[in-house]
Amino acid sequence: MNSLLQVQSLDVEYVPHTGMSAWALVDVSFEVMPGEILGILGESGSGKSTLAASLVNLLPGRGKIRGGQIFFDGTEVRRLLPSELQKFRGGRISLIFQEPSAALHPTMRIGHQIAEVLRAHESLNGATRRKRARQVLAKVFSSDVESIMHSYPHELSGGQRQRVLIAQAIACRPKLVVADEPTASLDPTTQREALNLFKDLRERLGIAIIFITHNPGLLAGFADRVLVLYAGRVVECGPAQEVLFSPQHPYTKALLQCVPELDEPPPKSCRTKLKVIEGVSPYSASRAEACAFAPRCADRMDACQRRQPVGVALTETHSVFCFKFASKQ
Amino acid sequence: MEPLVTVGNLTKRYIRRHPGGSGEGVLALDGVSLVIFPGTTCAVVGESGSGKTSLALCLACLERPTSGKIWLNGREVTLLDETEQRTIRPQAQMVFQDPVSSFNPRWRAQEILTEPLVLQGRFSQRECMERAATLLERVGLSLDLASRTARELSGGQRQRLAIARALALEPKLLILDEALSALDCSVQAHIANLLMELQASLGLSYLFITHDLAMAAHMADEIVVLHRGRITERGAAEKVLRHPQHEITRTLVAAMPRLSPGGLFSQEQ
Repeated sequence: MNSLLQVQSLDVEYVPHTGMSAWALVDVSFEVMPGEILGILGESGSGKSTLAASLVNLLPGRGKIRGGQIFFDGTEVRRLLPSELQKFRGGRISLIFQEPSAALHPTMRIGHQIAEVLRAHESLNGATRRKRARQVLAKVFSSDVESIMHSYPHELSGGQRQRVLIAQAIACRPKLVVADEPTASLDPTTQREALNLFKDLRERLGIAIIFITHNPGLLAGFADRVLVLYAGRVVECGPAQEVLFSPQHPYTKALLQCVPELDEPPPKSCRTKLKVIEGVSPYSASRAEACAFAPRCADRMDACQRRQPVGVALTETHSVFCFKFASKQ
Repeated sequence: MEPLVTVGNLTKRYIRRHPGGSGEGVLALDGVSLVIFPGTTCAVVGESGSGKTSLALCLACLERPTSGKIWLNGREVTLLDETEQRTIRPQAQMVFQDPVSSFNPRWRAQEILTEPLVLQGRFSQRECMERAATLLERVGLSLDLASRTARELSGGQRQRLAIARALALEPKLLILDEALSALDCSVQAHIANLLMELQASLGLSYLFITHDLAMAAHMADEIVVLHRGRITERGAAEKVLRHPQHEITRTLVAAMPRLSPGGLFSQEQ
């Protein structure tokens, strides 16, 4: 099967008006298959939001794509004209952002806000737009569609607002939805409902999803594949089961050990400290010839401080960027 | 041992002020009772809107309960007037989810830490500076960060600073309102460990409000499950999670993302 999205050696740099420029992404490559859920796992400053924005050329402020290619369904996204990009965003790839209340217009009824998306992309008359808006909302709400249509954002709960954003994102039948921390502000029950909805939309509409998060627990049982970012570079990529349950890269391993386990907590007197990763995450990427994780890595070797590790394919689908595995190739 | 905090039959009703709002308002807390002993952690879990933050605000003397009683360190705070409450507030301090919005963006860490001390009017300037330095050290921040503003700190450093500020007046109780939720996993672990160390060395009590049942289980002696302003279940942390009795608790436990094979959607698969 041909991939839906192909990102090759993407480099992104932020160039502020004053001060030092900073790399956000360096040499990032990956693919998304049609109908696939790809989880992108990374902590603050790993470049995950920059990655989402670069896919549709929506980099904020002084962000610049410095190199690499993004192919979507045969189109080279970086070559699109501004007018073509307008149609492309929302029509082919949609974005969903973290804060649902900030992404909705506070004084516009929900039905109208969905119709707006349709108006930007398709030439329909008002009545058809409303009908389509109703149909789209019915895909994400099992009941009460009519009252939601007439509600203002402040009348809805956080989970409902998130559903409205998902409805907006799928209104023009895109092939890929990029969701940047879409559930971070929701409580676990609502979070789970939203994840179920994403899964359901993938099943019913065949939409591929890039799900960006800092919470590895959300990806377990949800994503098909997981890509781990550290300091603007890919460190590990493979099937979700393998990356989350038997991580290979020292960073992925250490990160997953930081999370307390829910099952079988011991009584308080027997509890031990949580495992931590010593040191702090860098806040930008580096083009230096050394592994960015080396200063914090338990398995550090000489080579790590002198060269950038290249990807080692452990299996056909699972690759790790670490010298520990270099000999096994 | 005498309890540090006793909450008896606490009710909080918010009246809607805008026209068209119903006269009854919203009942955020409906007969909540709980006890926190010195040096222990009580975790409060529940969905959004279950009343967790209302409980926190009442305990911190930032909201007046509609009815019910709160005893803090032997004093009934619900009986005190505003001036008297000021003398009580230092004993119960809050740490919020997003420290940036609770810090003055123009202030340096030094000023943020000395403000509570200056407001008390009990300390000389030199004493304030010395105490600020001790606080920074206690939460694992280096002294050269004292001249930075909150924006110039990383997420973890900011939360350490928020904890340091909360500790400035030597409180007995820290109210941690989603204090770990906005942090990355690796940073969360550092801050959780810091809170456990501080509890052991200073004998602090925590009211730990969270969505994260796994973290609640790790930090708490007792877990209290709130639902629509009422306590639906309570008990030793390990017991509540292993054998949840109430349907609400079971739903919460089932919804938690977890990193064990099978994972979040194990039932469906």
